[in-house]
Amino acid sequence: MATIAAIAASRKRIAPFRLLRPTTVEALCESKRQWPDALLHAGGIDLVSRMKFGLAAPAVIDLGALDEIKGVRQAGDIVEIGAATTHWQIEHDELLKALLPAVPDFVAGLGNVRVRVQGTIGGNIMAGEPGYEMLPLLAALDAGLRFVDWRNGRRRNVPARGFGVDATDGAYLLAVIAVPLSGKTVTWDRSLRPQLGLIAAFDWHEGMVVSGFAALTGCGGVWASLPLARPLSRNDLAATSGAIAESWGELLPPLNGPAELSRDYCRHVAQVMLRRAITRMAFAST
Amino acid sequence: MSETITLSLTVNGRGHVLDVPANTVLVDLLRERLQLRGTKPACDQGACGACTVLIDGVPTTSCLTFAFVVDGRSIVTVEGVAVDGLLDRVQRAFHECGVPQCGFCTPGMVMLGKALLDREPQPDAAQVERWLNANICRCSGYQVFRRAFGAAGAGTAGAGDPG
Repeated sequence: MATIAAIAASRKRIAPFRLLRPTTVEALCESKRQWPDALLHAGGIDLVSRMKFGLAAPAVIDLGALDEIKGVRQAGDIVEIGAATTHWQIEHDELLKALLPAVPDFVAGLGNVRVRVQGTIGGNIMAGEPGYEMLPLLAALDAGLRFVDWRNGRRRNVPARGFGVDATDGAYLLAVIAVPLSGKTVTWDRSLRPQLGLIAAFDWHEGMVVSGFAALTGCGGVWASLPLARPLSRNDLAATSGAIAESWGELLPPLNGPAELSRDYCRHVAQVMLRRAITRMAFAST
Repeated sequence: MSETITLSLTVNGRGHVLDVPANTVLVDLLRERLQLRGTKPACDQGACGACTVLIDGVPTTSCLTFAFVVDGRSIVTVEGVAVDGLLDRVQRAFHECGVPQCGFCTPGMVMLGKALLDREPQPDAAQVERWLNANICRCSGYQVFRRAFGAAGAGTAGAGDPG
């Protein structure tokens, strides 16, 4: 018994906290007003791990009973995904499979089955981990993030393309992810994950690509529109893929890639990945 | 001292009502409070999957799950997989394929395999591969796991052998 106790005591321990379990967003805001330093718990993957490594707070607010921010629903030409919806639920959601099949297809490749069962889309975004992939996907899909300001209950919409975790200033709670039904086609390349990954989205009109967008994963959320001077046919798209990728790479903001890779190397690899993605999209069956 | 909360849960078919500190992690609840030590806290960071248990039938990382999450829910640990002394088909396949080497990942792999086969009774190779990548075998015995998952799915593991 002494041996078991010694082993247990050697493991990382979590600091004590008070547990709050609101059932409405209004109650959540009230909890946050009472305990402004409280941490939010959704799936728990990042939170429990960080608390084992020393993150502490006087209170933890569990979002598990907040049905308002769970599930997938259609609202006109928008699909709303609750921030506390798990990746597993997204992967198997019939509405998403019918309306935005790229989303469940993409999510099916996140982490592993244990991560997807437990992790939530909101947690993936708000964890702010540079290797996490949901924010770049949502940027490529031109999605919006709907926050609630816990200080006064006001709502605030932020485009995924303009979002950084620091921008919330700790005062905003992510409630809903709004993905437009825009008919984009999406492709991605995870062959170099976790160091780098690419997600590209294309808008089509009458068989021509009229605009595109590509985002990198593994670099802390870096993205840019594809520089297309005019609508391109599939053949034109394939023929100019190298030039598009090169110009896009120049448009990217400074990369914050893995420490072991230089920024120039990351940019070069990203351009290669985009060129491949464009070629793949150009020759994909319609 | 963390606030104490009361949990009502079912573990391996048996109901429990427990008072635990709010900061209790599920793997510690299972091992230290309920004395179910088949669930292994190996990496303790959610990476390896040795601590996998089923919560309402889905494989979950018990070292990264607060105990308060399982209030009102049903948990199966490796101790609850065999019923009345009869091994589950995953356990039979593991036994017949000679899966265990060091054995440390085995409980988590059993739970992962059970979750897969409960959901997909006859998984194809791609499905096995996708699920198997969730857990780490430090002996790198993945070929044997693939064979065992396949045998369990195909129903070629012997029936009723208590092992």
